[in-house]
Order: sequence, then structure tokens, then C-alpha cells
Amino acid sequence: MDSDTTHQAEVIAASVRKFQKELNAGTVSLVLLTLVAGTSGPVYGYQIAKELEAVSGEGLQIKQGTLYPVLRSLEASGLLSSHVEPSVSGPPRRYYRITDPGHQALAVWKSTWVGTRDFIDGVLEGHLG
Amino acid sequence: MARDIDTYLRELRGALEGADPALVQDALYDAEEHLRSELASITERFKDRPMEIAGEFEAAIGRYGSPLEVAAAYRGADEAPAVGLQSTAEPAVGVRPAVELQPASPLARPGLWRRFFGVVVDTGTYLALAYLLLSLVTGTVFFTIVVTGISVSGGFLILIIGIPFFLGFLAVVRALSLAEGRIVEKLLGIRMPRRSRSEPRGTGLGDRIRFWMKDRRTWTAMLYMILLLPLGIAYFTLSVTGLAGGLWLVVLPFVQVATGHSYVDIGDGWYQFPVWSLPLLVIAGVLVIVLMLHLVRSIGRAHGGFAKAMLVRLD
Repeated sequence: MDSDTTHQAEVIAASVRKFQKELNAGTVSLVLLTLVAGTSGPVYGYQIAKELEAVSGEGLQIKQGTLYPVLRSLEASGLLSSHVEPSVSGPPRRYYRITDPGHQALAVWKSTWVGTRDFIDGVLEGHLG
Repeated sequence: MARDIDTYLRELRGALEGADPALVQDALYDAEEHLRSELASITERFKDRPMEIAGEFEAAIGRYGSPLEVAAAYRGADEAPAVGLQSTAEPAVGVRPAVELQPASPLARPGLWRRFFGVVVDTGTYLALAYLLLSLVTGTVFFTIVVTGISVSGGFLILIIGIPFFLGFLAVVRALSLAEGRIVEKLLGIRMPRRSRSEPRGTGLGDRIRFWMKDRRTWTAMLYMILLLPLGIAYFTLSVTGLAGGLWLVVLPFVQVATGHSYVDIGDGWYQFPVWSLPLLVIAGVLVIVLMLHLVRSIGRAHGGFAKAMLVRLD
């Protein structure tokens, strides 16, 4: 009986991890693009990670190391641009800023997000149809 | 879990084994940049309580993610560079795809005809052509800078300004190889690193020189820049003469028909191609151009691989 409950707990924990990972796949791009768009000047990865940490508090479900490849992929698709500047402490830093297509994409992404959120809320609350 | 940056980077490199070297380099630079910023910020905040720094930093490494998690994120991002809310979900049970594609359908595998002429509509071909033409210019510039840098450094070495000059020259070489990396990535579509290797902090001139002298990439990058001049001359000559020759074959019949005059000088007069051969000339010209475009694309790919081997650190 005891091993049965442990097994169940493992199944649930694994499913939660998988669900969170799949949710993050799309939403992290949206969050990062919004954060970069919200700053007045170019920002580097560490600043973005810290800002995200401040916004989400202890409940942060995203490992900071996984943000950087998303930034690079946003850059590769032309939504962000970047340049490298030497820093006083340590290696040179890569500064990101949002591009014009990035602003346009972000506007569409936001409305897509709102639509998705409303739809899911509707399903969860059983008000569909 | 690693407790210091070097161990972490080593573990991350291990976790990324077998991945594209340029991707590995990007991942290592990102991790190094982040963790060094963390360390600097923690050291600043806990300067009154140095005993707690190690623990705080370990927690910071935990927030960054284990090497396995981070490696998986880089591999994943590289496989799907398109961003947005991409659905990778399997179709729900009971939902059938409207068209079931046969694995060996003719659409899935282009025929010989499409493979041969497909090169004409492939943007990559023209980008590669642009690279081959440009390489004459970049090759000349790189060659001049590297040869001048080496000889002037050699001459200065007996003077006090020799060492700083040599270090500056090495920095220029690194900047140029990054620039060439950007060009290669944009035009040849080969992934190249986005930033240079960073040197250890707080070391003297001698240590910095030793660090860069021991880096094999410093030397292969210089060799690459020297070799790019002869390669650039060959690429430029080959593409221009080949494509111009093909174009000449295509245009000549039309000119001969329009003007009634030939432009093929055979010493004691002008050779007029017989009318029946004119369509054949056009066909031959088109074939020459398409074959040249194939050659251009292949050279572009081969050169991209060469540039990567010489400019990207592989260790």
C-alpha cells in the first residue's frame, strides 16, 4: 500500500514537470520579449534573469540557464538584436534590444495569449458553448 | 552540483558532448557570463560575511540549472529555431490527418530534374556566390593586416612597446575572426560562435600573452586569414569567368540574330554560328550556368566547413 502511494506521487510529480515544461516552451519567449521590450535601453542576460526573478519571486519555475538559448533563438528569428560590449568584471556581455519586427510580433503574441487564456479559463470553468 | 565556475563549465561541456561546436561555445559563454555576474554580485553583497559566499553561489548555480537541464535547453532551441507558440503535440486520438503522406511519395523526394535545377531557385546559392565574390576583398584585407601585424610585431619585440603591440594585434585577429564568423554564418549558413573566448581575469601581461599563445585557435585563425587571399582570388576568378562564360553562350545567339553580326573573332574574320546551332548554344549556356551554380554552392559549403574548423575552438 505504501509503495503504491509513493508510486502515485511520482507519477503526479513527473506529469507536473512535463506539463510545466510544455507550458514554458511557448510562454518563456513571450515573457522574455515583453521584458526586453519594457526596458529603456539594451539589457544583458543576467539583468533579464534578475528582473524575472524579482517579478516571479520564489515561485520561479524556469531555470535561468534555459533563458539564454531562448534569447539567442529570438535573435536568430530577428525579433531581438544584440551586440557585445566588454565589461569591467569578467567576460564581455551580450546586450539585447527588441527590433521593429519584434514589437509587431509581440503585439500579435499578446493578443494570441489573451485569446488562449480566455479560452482555457472558459474550459476550466465549464462555460464553454 | 558544481561549486565553482570552471567545474560547472566542464560539466556543461560534458553534457553537450556531440553537439555542434559553435552551439557548445555559445552555451559556455552564456553560462560563464551569467555565473561571473552572479559571483560578482554575491561577493559584493556578502563582503561582510565571506563565509556565506560559497553557499550563496552554490544556490545561484542551482537557479541557473544543472548542466543537463541547460544542455537540453540549448539542444532544443537549436532544433527548433523558429519561436512562438509552436505546437509539438501529437494529434488527438480520433483526429486523422487529412492527407496521409506516403514516406516515399514523389513530393517528399525531389527527382533528378528538380535536384539539378533546384539550385537556381535556392537563395543559399546566391548567398554563397556573394560570399565567394566578397572573399577576394576580405581575403586581401585579412592578409594585409595579418602579414603587417606579424612582421611589425616581430620588429617591435626588441622594444618595450613590442608586447602591448602584439597583444593588440592578437585582439584584432580575434575581432576579425568573429567578423568573418558573422559573414560565414549569414552567407554560408554555417553556425559560428557569436563571441570570442574571454581571457582569465586579473593576470599580468605575460600571463595574457601565454594564454593566447597557447590557444591553438589564435594560430589557426591567422593561418585562415592568410589562406583566404589565394582562396579568395581563386573563388572570385572561378565564379566570374564561369558565370560570364555561361552567360555569353546564352546571349551570343540572340545578339547574332539581332545584329546579323558575330562577335567570335577567329583571327582572319568573324565566325558566324550556323542558325541550327543557336538553340544548342543557349542550352549549353544554361547548363554551364546551372553547373556553375552547383559548383558555387558546393564550394560555399566546403569553405564554411573549413572556416569553422579554423575559427571555432574545438576542445
